[in-house]
Amino acid sequence: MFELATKIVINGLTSSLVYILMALGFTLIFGIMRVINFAHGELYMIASFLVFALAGSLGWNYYLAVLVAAVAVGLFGALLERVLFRPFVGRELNGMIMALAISISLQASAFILFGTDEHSVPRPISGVLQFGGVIVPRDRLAVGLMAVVVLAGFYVFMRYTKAGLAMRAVVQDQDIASIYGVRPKIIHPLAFGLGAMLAGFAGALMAPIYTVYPYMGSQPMLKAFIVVILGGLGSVPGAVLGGVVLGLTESVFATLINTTVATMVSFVIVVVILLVKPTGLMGRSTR
Amino acid sequence: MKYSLKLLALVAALAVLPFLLRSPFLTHIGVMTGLYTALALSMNLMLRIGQISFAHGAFMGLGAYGSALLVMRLGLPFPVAFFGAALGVTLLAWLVGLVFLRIRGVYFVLLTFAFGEIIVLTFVEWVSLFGGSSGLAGVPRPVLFGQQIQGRNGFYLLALALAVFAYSSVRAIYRSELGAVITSLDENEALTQSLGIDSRRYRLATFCFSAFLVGMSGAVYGHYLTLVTPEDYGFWVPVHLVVINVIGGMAHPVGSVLGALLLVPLPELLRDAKQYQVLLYGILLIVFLLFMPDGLYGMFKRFRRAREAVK
Amino acid sequence: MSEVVLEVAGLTKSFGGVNAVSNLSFSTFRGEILGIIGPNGSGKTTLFNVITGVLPATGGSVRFHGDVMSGLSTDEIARRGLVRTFQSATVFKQETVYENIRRGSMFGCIGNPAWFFRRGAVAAGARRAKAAAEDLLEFSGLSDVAQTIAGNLPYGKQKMLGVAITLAQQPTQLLMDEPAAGLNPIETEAMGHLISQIRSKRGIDVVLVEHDIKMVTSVCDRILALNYGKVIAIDVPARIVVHPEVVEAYLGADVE
Repeated sequence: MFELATKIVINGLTSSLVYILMALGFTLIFGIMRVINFAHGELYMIASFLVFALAGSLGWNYYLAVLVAAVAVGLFGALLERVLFRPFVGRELNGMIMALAISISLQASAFILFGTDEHSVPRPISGVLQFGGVIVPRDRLAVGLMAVVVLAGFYVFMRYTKAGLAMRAVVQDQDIASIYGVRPKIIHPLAFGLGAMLAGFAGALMAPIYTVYPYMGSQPMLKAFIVVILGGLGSVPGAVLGGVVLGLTESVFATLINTTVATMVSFVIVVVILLVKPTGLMGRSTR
Repeated sequence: MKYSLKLLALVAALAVLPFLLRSPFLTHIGVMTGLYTALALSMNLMLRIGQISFAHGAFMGLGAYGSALLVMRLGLPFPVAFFGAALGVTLLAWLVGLVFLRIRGVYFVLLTFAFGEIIVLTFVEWVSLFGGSSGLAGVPRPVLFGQQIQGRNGFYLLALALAVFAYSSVRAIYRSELGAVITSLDENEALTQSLGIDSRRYRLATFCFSAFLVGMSGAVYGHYLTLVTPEDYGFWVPVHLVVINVIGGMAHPVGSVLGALLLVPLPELLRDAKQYQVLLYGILLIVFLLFMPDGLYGMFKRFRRAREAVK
Repeated sequence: MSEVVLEVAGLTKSFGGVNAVSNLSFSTFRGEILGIIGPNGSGKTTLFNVITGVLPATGGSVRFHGDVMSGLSTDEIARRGLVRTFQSATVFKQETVYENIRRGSMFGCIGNPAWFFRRGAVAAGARRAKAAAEDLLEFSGLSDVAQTIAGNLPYGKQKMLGVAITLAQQPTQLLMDEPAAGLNPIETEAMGHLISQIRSKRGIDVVLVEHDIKMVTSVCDRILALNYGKVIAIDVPARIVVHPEVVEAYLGADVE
């Protein structure tokens, strides 16, 4: 019984960390630009493919590949904002449709370039750890640890840098932030880039764990979306809380019943939250 | 009166088309275009009140499963099953709409998306009723007025009838005072309510009629394919409907028709290069969003106005 | 003795323990223009929102022509003849001025959804709406911009249009939320003039919530002064402007 519980908790937590990375990026983009970034899963996918290309095919050092992939995806995100999302500031529904269009195009491009095959990236760490009878794969642990490092870095950035402060101000109240001289032209691409980079980290870290293929971004996107609704669109602490809640809830239902039911339960939670408190567990009423 | 004659002539011409062309492939495209025209028009209604429903794919599925099950399990005649399923979907929309329609903007999109996913997952999980991920096979061909609709031509006429009904009713609504009320709700809800309009009632009515159109389309679709599987009714259906409206032009119902005429045949024609078709689709959408937000209809209107100015 | 139109009795509205409005009572009479003034936070806006059904009251009641209004929704209250205008210009920005007013009249005819299917009723409503639009265009001085898209009008004219739209509803009493807000002195005077005409030419009673003391004193028959959610005075303008508590509440304001 204890083993089952521990297994549930460990699986839940390691999933949570990746969900949180995805959710943070997603919620940052929404909080600052009010865009539902449906292409977020594709950003995850691109990073995975980059790691596959660099570490898998070209033989680069895995950790270097992760860094390069995440930064590249971050820059790509900033580019997307500048070229494709900027015209839709203030028009949420249209921005959302644009995000869908980008998602469709990126998925199709990946298919055309890489085919439907699933690719593997060699694991940087192998083996398992034993915690009193419970078996934990080392690479999952490594992913968890690296995710925590990224999250810590993100926290420091948001808390202690000028840019981070500016972004938090914009999430709270856009008008007041602009009075203090925070300019959308700089903050928007920065936010999108940062959000994209977080998705990039998630994708890069997960590349060796599962296989890499063009559709791989859909599931993480879905999870990010659920986490963010749970925690509150635009709320950073909410994303963390939501990630933990979702990871654990899913782990419980998936282990005890099956994954389909687990997914259904999470959607039911989404419906309830949106009806009862659309701003989520930790969100505040946004304009 | 003149308009009705023109429409009648057009419909008559369209109706005889498959018998003249005698191409099963083209007739198939015709069936799909007809159905998607009706579906796109149902989404146009939602766009007009500013509440995009991503549950429409699931509603379509409920129409398909509903009609199929009513015929297969209860042995009901097709017309009864067809309307029964459509009305069932409408009823669900009414119940759900009572609670959901309070929510606006992107939150409504996300809410209906989640709800739609729950329904589709139910199609997968509730194996005894819906047949699980393999769905329902062997859905019988409809029997209408004693005739069994076997071939594509029969379904083409059915789809055409549905499309004509959808177009006529939506157009009539938009041209009437009801249309003015619905448009006003999105343009300025506070003002509209202060003028004595119960916003909830009209949004609900719009949502229900939209669901009715979707339910009917789903029912026909299911009987046409003779196979009803959950994956056909997911999130990408409403996305496709929104895209059809964006590209065709949301301002007038003819935009939905134009969008369907352009986008529905595309995948059928580019069968082999499926991913290229998808990429083209995505890029087309991006281009339209950036440079032609009024869609094809908007383009034609500006073209006509430019011609008038030159005269 | 004039007939009581709007009767507010013991009205209280609290937000989580803080009373925005406390035990407020007053009445308006047939044929009068009542002004409601008060400094920021005095509860004017809350009072307005409770009367128009935007917020539910915590206690007390609102009666209109004797019928209880508390608990009704905004649209129901509007259908009873108590119509409101908005502080910021609220119009259908994408439609022409003519269409805006026409809708104001048309929407007032609509009882329930079944109405749309009765050809005769719709046609009669359309005729009435057309006549109302033409009449009100002139009445509010907007005839020359009838075909202009409302969003393209200068702000002052948009506010006038907002008033015209509500008049198309044929209300018995008009509740105006800061009609002078955002207007320059010339536009304010025009608005004040329109409000007087609404009472004298159309026989519609008016209650207006306002900050602009000058406009309120020139247009209103009586003024209700609020502070901290309570009535501090209700009297004719001449006496209100010298009322010690009112002056104190408006310390520094131009009460000329």
